[in-house]
Amino acid sequence: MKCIILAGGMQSTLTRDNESIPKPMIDIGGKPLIWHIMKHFSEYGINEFIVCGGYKIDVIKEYFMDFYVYESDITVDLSDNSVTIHSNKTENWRVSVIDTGIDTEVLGRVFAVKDMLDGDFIVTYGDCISDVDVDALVSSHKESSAVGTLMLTRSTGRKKFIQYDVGGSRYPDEQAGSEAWISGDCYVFSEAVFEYEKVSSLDSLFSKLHDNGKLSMYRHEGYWNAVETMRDLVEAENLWESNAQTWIKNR
Amino acid sequence: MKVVILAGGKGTRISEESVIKPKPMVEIGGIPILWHIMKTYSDYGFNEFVVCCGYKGQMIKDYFLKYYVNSSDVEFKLDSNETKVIGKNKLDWKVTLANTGLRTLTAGRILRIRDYIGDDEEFMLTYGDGVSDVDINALIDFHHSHNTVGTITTTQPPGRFGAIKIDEGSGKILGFKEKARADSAWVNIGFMVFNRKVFDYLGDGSEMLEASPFERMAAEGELSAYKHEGFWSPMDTIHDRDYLEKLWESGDAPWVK
Repeated sequence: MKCIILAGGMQSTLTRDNESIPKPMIDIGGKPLIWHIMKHFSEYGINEFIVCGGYKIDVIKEYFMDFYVYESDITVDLSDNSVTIHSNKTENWRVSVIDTGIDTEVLGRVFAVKDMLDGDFIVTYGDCISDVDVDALVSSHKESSAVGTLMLTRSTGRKKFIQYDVGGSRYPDEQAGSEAWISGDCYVFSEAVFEYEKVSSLDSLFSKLHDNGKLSMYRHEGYWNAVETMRDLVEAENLWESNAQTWIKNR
Repeated sequence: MKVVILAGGKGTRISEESVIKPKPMVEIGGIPILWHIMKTYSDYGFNEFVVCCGYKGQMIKDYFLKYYVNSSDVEFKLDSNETKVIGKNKLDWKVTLANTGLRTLTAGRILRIRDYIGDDEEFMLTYGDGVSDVDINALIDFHHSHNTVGTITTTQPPGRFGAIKIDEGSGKILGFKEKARADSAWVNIGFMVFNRKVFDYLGDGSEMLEASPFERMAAEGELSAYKHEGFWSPMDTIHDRDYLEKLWESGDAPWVK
């Protein structure tokens, strides 16, 4: 199963360096966010990634181009420029980095790499880390016979759900329910999704799928973090540094 | 003898630069201080280095991977993506760049490069953020003649403040002394030499080398101090950098022969 990582339109200022970088390249504990995402999926046997790049795609390409050498101990002989690789701690991942433009809508990026896919596939944003049970997510999709499964997660950070009784009324009212679920920006699709090629955006795809009874939901109760603010980043860094990151089991 | 350089720590103090660079990559005259330190050793004929990388180690790897091309005249054949070096690079250094972890403490970093010392009976070790004109040959002779597991180079850094001599009785000033060097304590400036027995003192590597490993060695009489009276400067602050930069530009940098 292949995993598409959306990494094209997102510029981050969440860096302690001066230069802006694509969001998936934000550093968490010495590794870019995109590495954390891949490592998570690879622990569930998913090792083929299609990175839909755009904004500063060269930063992403260079990272993977140098990955083998960066992960290893090396000796450089400056007299003849020969390089010896000592310990090779690389990954068995296959990473395609595809330029899908800067302003392209999410769905356009997915359709752009259509020919590289076979069977069901995962689409995830390159700025979210989660400890979702990928096996459970994928089997929930397969069992549902839906064309698309949307991962839901709990709202995080400062956006807290509130419930008060004021002046005899309940706010928000009972119908609103007590659970706040939001999109976890991670989806599983069947190939049949390409029949919806005329749909213009992800939102309208989901409402079409919904109308056709082909949309399924998966509730993820665990950790989820869309690294948007310095607060989100510091949270992820602290978990990583205290070896308490739930999104990667074996470091 | 191989030279191990500790270059993994986070460069937190030179704020303007270290946010984007590991400390050993902070430049003096456009060249990383790490290179300057290596040059000091290479002037004495020591050309094999093991750099313990950590924080932004990629940047250090990149520097040495591109060094050959960046320090030579080159011709690029754009139709075949070939790079031809015109003329020869002057350095024959062998630089091993080892990933020793982001937050590993110094004893742990040394344990992780043990394999790169190979069967050598001894090795040298220094910090990636201090330059000096230590006479490396004299240091090694000293180490051999004292026959301990380790020798560290020590110096009395110039004081930051001028000293004043006060008459205790009258409270009057008797005289001024400019930045008295002899009054300050002897400090560890790196430029160490170790017998490979040092690995037995490092425990599981969860400590600073300068903590209990050194304390145990000292308690057993296995650590000597080589007194260096000459030049030494750390690269701790922006002032240090400006000072080193000025020395380099004067064409008379003491750490390069």
